[in-house]
Amino acid sequence: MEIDLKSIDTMYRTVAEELAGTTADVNDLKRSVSETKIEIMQAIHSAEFGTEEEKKTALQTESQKREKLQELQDTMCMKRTILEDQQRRIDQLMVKVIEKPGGKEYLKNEMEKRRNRANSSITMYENEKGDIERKTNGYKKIQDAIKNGEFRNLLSNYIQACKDGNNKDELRKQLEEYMYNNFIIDVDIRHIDEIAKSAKMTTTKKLINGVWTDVEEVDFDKTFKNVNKKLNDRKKDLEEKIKKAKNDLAVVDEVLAGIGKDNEAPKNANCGEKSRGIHLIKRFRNWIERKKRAKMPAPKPEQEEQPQQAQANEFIKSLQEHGELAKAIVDRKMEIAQEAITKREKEPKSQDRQDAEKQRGRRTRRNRKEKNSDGHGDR
Amino acid sequence: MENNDILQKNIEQLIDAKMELNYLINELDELIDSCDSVLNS
Repeated sequence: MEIDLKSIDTMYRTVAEELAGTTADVNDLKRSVSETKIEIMQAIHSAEFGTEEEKKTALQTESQKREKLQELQDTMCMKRTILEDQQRRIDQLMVKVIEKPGGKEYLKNEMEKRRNRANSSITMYENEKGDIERKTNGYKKIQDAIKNGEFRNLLSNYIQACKDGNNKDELRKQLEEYMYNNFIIDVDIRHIDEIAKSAKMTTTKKLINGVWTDVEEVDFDKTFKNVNKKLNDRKKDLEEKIKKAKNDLAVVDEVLAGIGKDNEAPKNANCGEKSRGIHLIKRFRNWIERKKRAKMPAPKPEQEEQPQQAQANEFIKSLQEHGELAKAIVDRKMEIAQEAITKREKEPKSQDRQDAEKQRGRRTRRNRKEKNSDGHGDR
Repeated sequence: MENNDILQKNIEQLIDAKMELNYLINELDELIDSCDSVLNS
């Protein structure tokens, strides 16, 4: 059925509104999962190293937190099915759009733009990540070097000079000279300048010329904690952005692969064909049901069933190949057993065997009698 | 607004939504798996 562009826009808005809510939900879930996992780890630690009382409480807490994590996991599975449903609706709208005159061309062009954008973002973020890693290593080297008291003082004076501007060039020269003479060659002065910008100061009392004087010094512990935290946060942020850009690239590839073929809908980037999406929803729903009954590992949505099927086929094939051999082994075993029975029947019975048979006969008769008296036996 | 502009806008919006959805689904998959590793430990 022909659908006008404004209707597509309206339909899109409905999905977009739902999507905004779901994004917020996923972020909340992410936070809750992370907190609960930390709480479980803490409880496990307390259960191992705490006092008897602490152990008892920790075990209870662990069990409660595990239950909570289980609930969160179930909620996430549910959310996933909702997202897949939204994705299907978006795919349907895309099909409508590319059916419009020029729609396919627009989509292709837009996808190419997105591909370029994602690729340049990845390069930019990767470069910045490389800079951060170099800085982190540089800061570690400075941290090692300040174990030397003299270097520490010189560095502290230089950082202070960077802050107030007094004698900065002279102190920089002194610092570089010291580093050169004492073979501190792996510390980069540019990294020192970076640290100077975010240095944390502290005031201590020092005896100078017999007088206790307030002296401002660099608090290296706080300073490194501060700069390293900043670097780590930025690194995490960049990793997230790289992940997102790579995810966008995957979508671009999937959609372009889909519209490459005539009269075919863009493929769902996550699930391939739509039927596979439905199949996954069913799998997840079944899995949630099973979870309620017994604790089982979650099926991975991206996990293909093919390897398992291939293994099964391989196994069946090998069974068929070895079928003849297996049959021969079973036949031979039967022959051996038959030979043993015949041989035994021919042999004269020993006293022990006769006694054992009598005993067995008495037991069988007694059992039958007991069963009859209970009303369970043959009448 | 011209039809072509609307079409262009529609396409941009749909791609944005598709990318966001794909990202969220992948995020959820990772979280679900990470829960499994804790729950089965």
